[in-house]
Amino acid sequence: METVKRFIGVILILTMMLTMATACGSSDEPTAPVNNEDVSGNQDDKEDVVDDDTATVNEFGWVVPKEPIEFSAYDARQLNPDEQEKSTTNMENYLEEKFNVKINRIMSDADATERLNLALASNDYPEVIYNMPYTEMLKWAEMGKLVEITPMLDTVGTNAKLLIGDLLPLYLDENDKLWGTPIGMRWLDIPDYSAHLRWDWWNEMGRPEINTPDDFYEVTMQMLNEHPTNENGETVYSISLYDQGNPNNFVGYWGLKNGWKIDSNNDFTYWAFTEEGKEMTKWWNKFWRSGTMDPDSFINKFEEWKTKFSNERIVSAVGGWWIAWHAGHEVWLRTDEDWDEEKRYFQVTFKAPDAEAAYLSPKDSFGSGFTVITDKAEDPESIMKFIDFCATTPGRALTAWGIPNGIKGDKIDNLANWHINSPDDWYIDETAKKSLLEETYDYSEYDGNLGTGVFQFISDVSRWEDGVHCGWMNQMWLDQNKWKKILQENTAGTIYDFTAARVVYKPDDPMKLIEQAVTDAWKQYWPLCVQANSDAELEEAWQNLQDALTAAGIEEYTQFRSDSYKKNMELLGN
Amino acid sequence: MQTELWLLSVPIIIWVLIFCYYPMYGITMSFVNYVPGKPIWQCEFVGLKWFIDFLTNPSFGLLLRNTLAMSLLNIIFGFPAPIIFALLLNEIGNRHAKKFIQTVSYLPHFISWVVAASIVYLLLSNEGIINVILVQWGITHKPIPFLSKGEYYWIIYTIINIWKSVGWSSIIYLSAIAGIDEQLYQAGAIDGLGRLGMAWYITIPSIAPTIVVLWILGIGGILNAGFEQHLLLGNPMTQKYWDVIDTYSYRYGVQQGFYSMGTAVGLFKSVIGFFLVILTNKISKKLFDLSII
Repeated sequence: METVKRFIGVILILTMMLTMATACGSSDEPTAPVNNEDVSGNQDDKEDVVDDDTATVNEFGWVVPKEPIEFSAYDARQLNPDEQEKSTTNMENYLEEKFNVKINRIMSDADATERLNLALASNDYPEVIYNMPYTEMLKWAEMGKLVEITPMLDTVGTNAKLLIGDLLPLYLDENDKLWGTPIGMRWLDIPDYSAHLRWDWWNEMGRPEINTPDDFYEVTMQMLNEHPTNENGETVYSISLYDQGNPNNFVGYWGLKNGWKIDSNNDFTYWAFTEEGKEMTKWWNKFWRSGTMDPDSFINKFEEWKTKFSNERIVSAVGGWWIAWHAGHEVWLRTDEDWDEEKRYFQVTFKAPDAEAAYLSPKDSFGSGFTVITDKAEDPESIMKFIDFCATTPGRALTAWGIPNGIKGDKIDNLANWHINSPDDWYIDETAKKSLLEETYDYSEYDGNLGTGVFQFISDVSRWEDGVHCGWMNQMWLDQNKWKKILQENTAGTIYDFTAARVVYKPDDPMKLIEQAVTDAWKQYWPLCVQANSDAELEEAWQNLQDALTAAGIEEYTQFRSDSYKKNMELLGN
Repeated sequence: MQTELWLLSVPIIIWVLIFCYYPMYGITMSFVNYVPGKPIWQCEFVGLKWFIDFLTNPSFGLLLRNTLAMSLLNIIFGFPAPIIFALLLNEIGNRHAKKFIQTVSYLPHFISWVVAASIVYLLLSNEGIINVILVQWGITHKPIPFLSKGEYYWIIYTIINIWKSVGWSSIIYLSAIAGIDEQLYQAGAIDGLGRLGMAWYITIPSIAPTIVVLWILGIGGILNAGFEQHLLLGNPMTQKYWDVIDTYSYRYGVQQGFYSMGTAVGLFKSVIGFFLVILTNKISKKLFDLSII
């Protein structure tokens, strides 16, 4: 018996040790990527692109290489791989078939910065990373992980160079080197931000004029008097917010730019230290003290807020132009059988009497991210060739609007945003255009199948040379869409170029900590100002806000922003 | 026999060395200016800079207050809760009822904090069920801002924490109770002890070693006052009350890319926790002659 016990014991020990050894050893073995979350790239043997003379040219004007261009590309945004899967696969297959370019798109719903740092620390990353933040790009370049783009701009990157144009100096590092191609350059003449009111209720009231914040307040209160509860008898609120709102934007109605008062010497003052900022806060406080503001304004998450909005419990809102669009009539047209197009929110612009203008939508030409080629790429030039194609007109159309000429969708058989016969012969699909103008465009069908925006390795969001087209299907022919036209007209003059105010942080820049502390401070203390129940309480809360900001380092931060602004103005030639 | 036992322990020792001790070289990150991708030893040595920065940070006092307050509330109310629950459960005679209650009490442990936070919002927001009841029954004139007034945060957090953990944490006490010699209860009955007396004089003293061990370990984790709970339950209006060392370390260390600072904060916590364990262990040994080391 004793011998059997010993035998079993030894066998158990050996099994455990063997299992451990196998588990530890397996990490060194090459493994196939399990899913799209794997940031490691495909390091399969790649062959050079064959001589252009022997290759065919497709309808996009792309010289199809005989040997495929293969690379993996990590999309450094927080994306859900499952949601993107079909669209990505369709586009990957299309590029392989038409372009002989095999791209493996890698996505992750984890925090992108953390993911990038992990990739850098583990030396496990693919040949291409796109939508990479500028600061990250500089860090990677400093570590010697990136291929310099600058020399290729004059060889295989001429279209990219052309598209970047006069913005090039903004993107160069201290040694005048370019490390990536910019995504989302320049800006489109559409608003980001607006105040919203119910269109049908405003019409019922005889369309009262709204020129000042006080006008808006009065109209909102009148609307609330007429509609104190919704159909279910639930309380309707005059105004509501979600995720705190943002005073930087609100103070735009009082003439400040993205939270900053800028004097003639280009010196900045933070909104919480200006009279305008205080007036803005008092305006919100007026809603609060009237007892009609949503009491959950500062704790609403978007989904909860959207439900209130869709249930007709909110008279007005201030925020992105799309929020009232999305939570309002886009919901009602699906849920309300009797819905007519007049039942919707519309955008309203007003400004404080002393304000120069309402500065609501700051635009930054710099863009949102960069496409970099890493040192894992065996043939960076061939990758750059494809990136360069993305900067041509057919390339911009393909990467923005998706697969052309019709494919079988989930609901629509001949699904397409556009069609192309040759680089100079392309046009927008009439069905897609009609549904956009009629606002029946099914975004999940089009975006979910056509690969729109899946591989935008370089892009310019402004309107194209023809003055009509742009990267966003729903932002064209605005004058032909009644409601978009109203949106444009009502927000005219609120959009401004604020590229010079952008800041670049070094990876270990302590200013990042101060910026975070400043954000923490206003997020904690500004809502208390809005929710003050008396003048004295408001004064005290305002003082507390200023004290918290001072403790957070607002003076240093303001100085840094002023200096950065002045430097950028010089770079931009202003 | 000893050889076999050692051989059996070898895999575990190797596992501990690889997964618990080897990664500890990462704590050296707190003494350098770490840049991801660069080997730690090639990064600039900065000594105690990150520790000093953290300790002299204007937020440090607030962070320590919140961390200690929520930890102490958890120790005061959360620690005895599973013991009391286990004692009560032990008194239930009906086997089926006992099993049912036990199973139901485990369930909250398996509910993620994301779901728990949604439940809390449904219950406690200004339009939540509790406020609706309070207003409709005339107990208050207007809703109580449970979720936007920081003063309520510690209480809400403690209650939810107890709700989530009481059943699960009671398992260890129930198993300790199950191991008590039945003869002790029989002797107690002969001596005239009632149910309360048996619990007080037999059950509690018998599970005292378990209680002491868990108490010592609990004290070691006094600077761990939750993390994701606060990010989910809290909001900027209540941040003054929920921002703890771990959430600060995440926001400023991980999210801003200051990994060295994050590591320094983690090491600071571990060192304090280690000394607290040693201290509590000594006190316990002196007072109760019970210790874990």
